[in-house]
Amino acid sequence: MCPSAEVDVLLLRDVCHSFGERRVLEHVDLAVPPGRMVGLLGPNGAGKSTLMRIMFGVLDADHGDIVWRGRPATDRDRRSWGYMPQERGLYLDMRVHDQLVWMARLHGVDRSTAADRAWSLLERLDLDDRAGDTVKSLSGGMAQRVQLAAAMVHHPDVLVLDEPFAGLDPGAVDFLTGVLVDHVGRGGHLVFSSHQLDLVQDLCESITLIHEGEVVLDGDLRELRAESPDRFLRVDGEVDVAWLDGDATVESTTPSETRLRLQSGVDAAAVLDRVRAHVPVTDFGVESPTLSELFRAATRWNERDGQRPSRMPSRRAAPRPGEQPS
Amino acid sequence: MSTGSFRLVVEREIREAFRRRAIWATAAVLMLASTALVVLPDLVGDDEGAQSTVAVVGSDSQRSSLDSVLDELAPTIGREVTVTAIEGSRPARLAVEDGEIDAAVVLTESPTRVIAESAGSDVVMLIRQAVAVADLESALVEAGLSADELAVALAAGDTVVEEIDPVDEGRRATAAIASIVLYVLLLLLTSAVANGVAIEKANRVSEVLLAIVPSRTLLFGKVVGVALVGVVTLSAAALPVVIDVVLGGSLPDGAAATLAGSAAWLLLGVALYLTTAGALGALVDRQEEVGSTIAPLSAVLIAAYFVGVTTPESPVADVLAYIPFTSPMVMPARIALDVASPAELVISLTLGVVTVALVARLASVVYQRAIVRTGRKVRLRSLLRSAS
Repeated sequence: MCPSAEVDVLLLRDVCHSFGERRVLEHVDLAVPPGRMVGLLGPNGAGKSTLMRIMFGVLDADHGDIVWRGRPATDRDRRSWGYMPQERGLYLDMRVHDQLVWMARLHGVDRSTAADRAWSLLERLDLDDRAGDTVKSLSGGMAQRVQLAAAMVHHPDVLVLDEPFAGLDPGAVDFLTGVLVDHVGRGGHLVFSSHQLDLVQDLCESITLIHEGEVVLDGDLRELRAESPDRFLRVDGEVDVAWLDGDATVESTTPSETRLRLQSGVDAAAVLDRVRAHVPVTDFGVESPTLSELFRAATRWNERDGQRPSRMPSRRAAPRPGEQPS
Repeated sequence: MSTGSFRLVVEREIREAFRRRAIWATAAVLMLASTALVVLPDLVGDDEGAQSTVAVVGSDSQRSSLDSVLDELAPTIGREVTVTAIEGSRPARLAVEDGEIDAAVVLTESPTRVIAESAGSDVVMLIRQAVAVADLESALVEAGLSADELAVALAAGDTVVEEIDPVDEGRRATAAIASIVLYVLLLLLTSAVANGVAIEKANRVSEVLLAIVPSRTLLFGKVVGVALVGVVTLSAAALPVVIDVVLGGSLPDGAAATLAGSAAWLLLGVALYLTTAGALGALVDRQEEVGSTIAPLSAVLIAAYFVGVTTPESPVADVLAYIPFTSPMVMPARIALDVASPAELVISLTLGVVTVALVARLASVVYQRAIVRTGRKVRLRSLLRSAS
């Protein structure tokens, strides 16, 4: 998606940042429209957290703008947003309810409203019976919920969450998903980073993929998948790569199915016939790349064939040889 | 800096500090110690040490002439002597034995007999002096001197005492107490600020907060909050003294000036040391590194305290009195001992205030840059170089 000056969109334009000699963000654009989940993706060290810190003024960008409601975002604007950093931060000796009320008041909410909101959030997060306990007495999962509550207690329009699903059990993931769906359902802005790409594929409508400080892929996830020239043949059996005569490679294998990446211009039916000549196939499909495959293609393109993915911006600098995404 | 969020940061520091039992225990101990200092001298010193009762065996005229001489002599050594009459040397002896009186004088015997627990006590010395003077008086009267001539004869022996070291113990004690209180308070608060900042950084609370409030609000909110907690705790110690003064007690000589001076230089010291400690606390990556990071600051504090408490009148102290990081440790003692000139006070305080402004600016920059750099300890030099 091209960043535009649409009034409702939170925009980051042409953001650059360096730590000393090391460039960590190069001309990064990010658009967060209301009512839409935006996933910010990239390998570790890609610059996602730095970008989020710049959004909140924790770091000052060397260059670039953050535009909110059609004008440069002010400190006051940022104070109304909600932020959950990757490395969680709470006062361990402070009581849960006290902490939430204090945070809300820092965001500009008055004392009694803050107290009410803290109570209702704690009830919703099933933590109301721990309101008077210190944070250090809570389990990791509970502390994580308090952290989310701290980011939401002032009812922010913009919610920016760095790895919100990291370390959550499946129940907590469902709960958090519900909260986020709620937030965008009410027209809120949401951007979050995650390494759980299956989850992102299920949740997000838009993604921005950063690699080595540059945006290498961004836009509507469905369109990105459909527009990719890569096609995959899924069959329910084991496949020997020797049967394929170089028309396809084995992308992944599980006990129940094999996923083959088809070379461009190859007829999928012909490849299927070659497989069927060796093993019976009862279930198959020709599919677009998953988000994981798009991710891998965009962050590892140099290792495979040295060709840029179709959506990769031309300004991207050549990666260092032999580099592995982590 | 938004005043609303600044107030909230300060409030949190104070509220959370007073939720801990340790702070109440500290306040209680301080208040007890201070109460003891105020009350004990009244109980022990004034009532029993300086007051003596002497019984006299002898005629009314003998007793009254001894009484009037004792009345004149006793105050010169800080005592008060009450003279009573007693019949016979035996009852006088028993009264001394029972501790009802401090000494008895039997003027009916020759030579005059003094009965006391020990021969070398102040009271015995006073009595011997008084008896000698009274005998001299009566001898002079017998020799035919008039009352006026007698007064002239006795006044001729008056002496003037020149004190070589005019500082009394009260001033020295006040100086020592001012030094130790400032030292302990600054040491504790410096460590509290540095640790508080380091904990926030290590816990990553600072990251959450920096997204809401400016870094200088966090730094100075903590400094002011911790300082207020310190001052409020200290006031637990001041309370008994204040109550004593209100109820009519008196402060030792020079104590009022020392208190005012201590307050001014305490404020200066708190501003300098706590702001610096906040910036240093932001450099560390783990809380365990705080001690070594603030060690240079503590070393300056300890050295200045040592000079302030041992040789506040020395040439070294003359110099340290002007240096902003050492003057808070030296000045209160110098004021108590009355060795600081008005010019010294003004110059020292002015230099201090200017330095506070500079240090606050520098600390704000260091804090802002260092608090977001995690992973390893930040070196001050590289931090300041990246500034340019």
